[in-house]
Amino acid sequence: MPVEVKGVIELRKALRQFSPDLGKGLTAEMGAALKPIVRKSRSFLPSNDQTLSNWVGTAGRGQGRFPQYDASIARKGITYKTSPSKANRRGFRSLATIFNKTAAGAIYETAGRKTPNSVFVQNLQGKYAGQMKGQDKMRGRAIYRAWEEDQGKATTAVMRAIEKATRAFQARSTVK
Amino acid sequence: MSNVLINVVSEFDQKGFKQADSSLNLLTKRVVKFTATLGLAHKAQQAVLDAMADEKATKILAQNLRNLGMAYAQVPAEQFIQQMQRQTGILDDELRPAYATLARVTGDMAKTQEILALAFDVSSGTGQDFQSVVNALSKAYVGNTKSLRSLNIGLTTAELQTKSFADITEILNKQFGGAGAASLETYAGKLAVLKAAAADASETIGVGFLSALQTTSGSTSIVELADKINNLAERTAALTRWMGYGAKSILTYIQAFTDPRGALKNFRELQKQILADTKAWNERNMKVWYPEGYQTAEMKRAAAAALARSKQVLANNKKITAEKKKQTELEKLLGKANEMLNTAKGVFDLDQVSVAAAMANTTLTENERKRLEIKQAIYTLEGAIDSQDQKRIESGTKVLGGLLTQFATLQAQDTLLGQVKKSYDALGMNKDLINLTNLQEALRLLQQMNLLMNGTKTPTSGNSITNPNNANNPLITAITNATSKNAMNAAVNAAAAANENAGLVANALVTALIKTGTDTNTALVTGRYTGQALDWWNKQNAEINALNAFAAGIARGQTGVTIQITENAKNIVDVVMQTVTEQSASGNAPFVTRLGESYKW
Repeated sequence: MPVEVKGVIELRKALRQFSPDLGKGLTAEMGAALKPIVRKSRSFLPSNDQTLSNWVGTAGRGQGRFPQYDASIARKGITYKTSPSKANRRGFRSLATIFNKTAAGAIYETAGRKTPNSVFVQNLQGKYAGQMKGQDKMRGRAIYRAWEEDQGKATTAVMRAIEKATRAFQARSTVK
Repeated sequence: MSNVLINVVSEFDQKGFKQADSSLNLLTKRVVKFTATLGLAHKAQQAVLDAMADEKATKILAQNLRNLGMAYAQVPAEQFIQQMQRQTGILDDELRPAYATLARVTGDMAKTQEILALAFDVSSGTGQDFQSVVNALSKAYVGNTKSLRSLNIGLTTAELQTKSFADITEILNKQFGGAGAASLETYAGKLAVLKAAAADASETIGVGFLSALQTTSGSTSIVELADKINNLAERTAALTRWMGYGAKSILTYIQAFTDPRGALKNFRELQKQILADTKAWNERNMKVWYPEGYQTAEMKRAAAAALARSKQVLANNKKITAEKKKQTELEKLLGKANEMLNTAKGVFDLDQVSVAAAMANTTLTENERKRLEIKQAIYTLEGAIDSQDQKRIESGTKVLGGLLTQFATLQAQDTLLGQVKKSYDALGMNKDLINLTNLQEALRLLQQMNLLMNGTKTPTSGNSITNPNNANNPLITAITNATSKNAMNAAVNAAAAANENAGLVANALVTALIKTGTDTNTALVTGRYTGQALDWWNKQNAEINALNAFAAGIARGQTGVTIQITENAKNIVDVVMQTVTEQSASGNAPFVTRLGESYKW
């Protein structure tokens, strides 16, 4: 579950306006906390030789076709973002996100969650399929696995960066 | 972009919710204002909103049917839905999606309506909600019978997979037919029907109004009452609409005085609107009737497509069933092969081989043999558990249990025997003396020694088996008194048969021979006796000679032999013989021979 905070969006707006260096520093520190997870997630993706030969290709999801897998494209698709997102239907905005944005990468990540006995999943597991880690909807082979293995260290680092920026900003804005 | 992402940190933003709230409030205010302008009551305002939602759902269903090539079925479908709502109490909000779902899988209007009716019966009979039952039936139509298990119709998974949809609907009709009608007779069923009618007319009727409304409206049944309520709502809506048209037409008339062109334009728009509404109203209420058996070209095409599809589905299901059957048979075969393989491997299992080799050893004690049998039974049971064959496991467990019981008994017996042996040893008895044969032999030898120790050639006291006092022994007396060869022969034979003492017989014979004046020479004697008497004579002759020799030895003044009684009485004769032999070697005469053996000197 993500950590919920209050006032960070306003803080970032204020930093951008009044202390841009602190704002940039916060962004850099958040990125530094998320980069190891991204790197690890990319290493969990199989290469083209290691996956099903008929699935390898560069054609994306177009005209109703099943997306094909290409290791380099899938790896590039795993990345992070530190800018706030739009509010979802429950009203929550994400401040730091790691995502697996390619279709094939997402398929590799989550294949077998609902249909573990399907032909595709069994073939995939037979050839090469990394271990699935995590719980419920946060269960997967790449980013979710890296997140599970990280055991909350990245979240702690991001929170620390926010707190540090907050204290630094408050210290600067205190009238003496 | 895909949905695979991790939100590390998030924040709740109320801005969107505030905007949505304000928009909704604004809309509500506008609607209220609009309806208030026309002078309608609060409940009619709700009716307007409900009508808007209902119209939207109708259009969605119509579009779905058009997409399926069943555009001809739009109006009959809507009529069916309205009728079903009135009769069953299931709201059209639920019926329209269900109709669309079934139409998609069947492609046939009549089949869709049939299955909807069946779904109502099944839902009433099982207590499950209507939508779930419709979903289960729609899946079953295309061969996915997994959801039907939740209906508990008494069929196994294999049976569900092998039966066709027609068979399944037959069973469902048998089990739940009439359940829907029965549920409508209950209070809850009646209330549902009325609620549906009231919801459609945007009214809520309380319990107390149930019979009152029926009475006051002059309806003979709840369905008739629902029809009347629905008609009233329709007419109220029509009235509202026409009042709106009337108001606008008045305003347009007034406008004509100041802006004739604008008024004309508004009038034409109003005319178009009235025509469109009238057409829609007619379509909703017009009864569409097809003569029995009549089918338009479109209906025929749709029916043919539905038939082809159902055949295809059936063929696919058969294919899947056949493949599954093949798979099952292959799995059985593999199972048997694995079992055979495991059995064969057991032949080369070193542990089992060594146990089998140990069992072949004939010098094993019962305890050791039982241990090995238990070991073998353990291997057998392990193999049965690996094969997961229930019968083998049960029999293996039984065998092992029996062996363990026997082993426990043996252990107990060993303990008991050990205690008996300890007690026996504690007695300190010479076990060999218990042997009766040895005891008798020792007694006989002692008796003979006693006899000889008296120092007489002719022992005066004998140890005749029949009579210890030879003077009164009738057999001996008979020999002594014998006066003829035949009488002597008979008497000696009788004494031999009675196993009389050799010495006594010999003495009696000598006496008899002397009396008769016969020579005691062995050669002459031999010629006189025949048969058993002769054997006896020969045997006794040897002993007599030995006795005489011993007696002669004693007469010479030599001391008697010393006999050492050893602990092992069985060997007393051997000891005596050995002693005699030794004494003989040193000049002492042997005095005894073992009966039955040749005389040794």
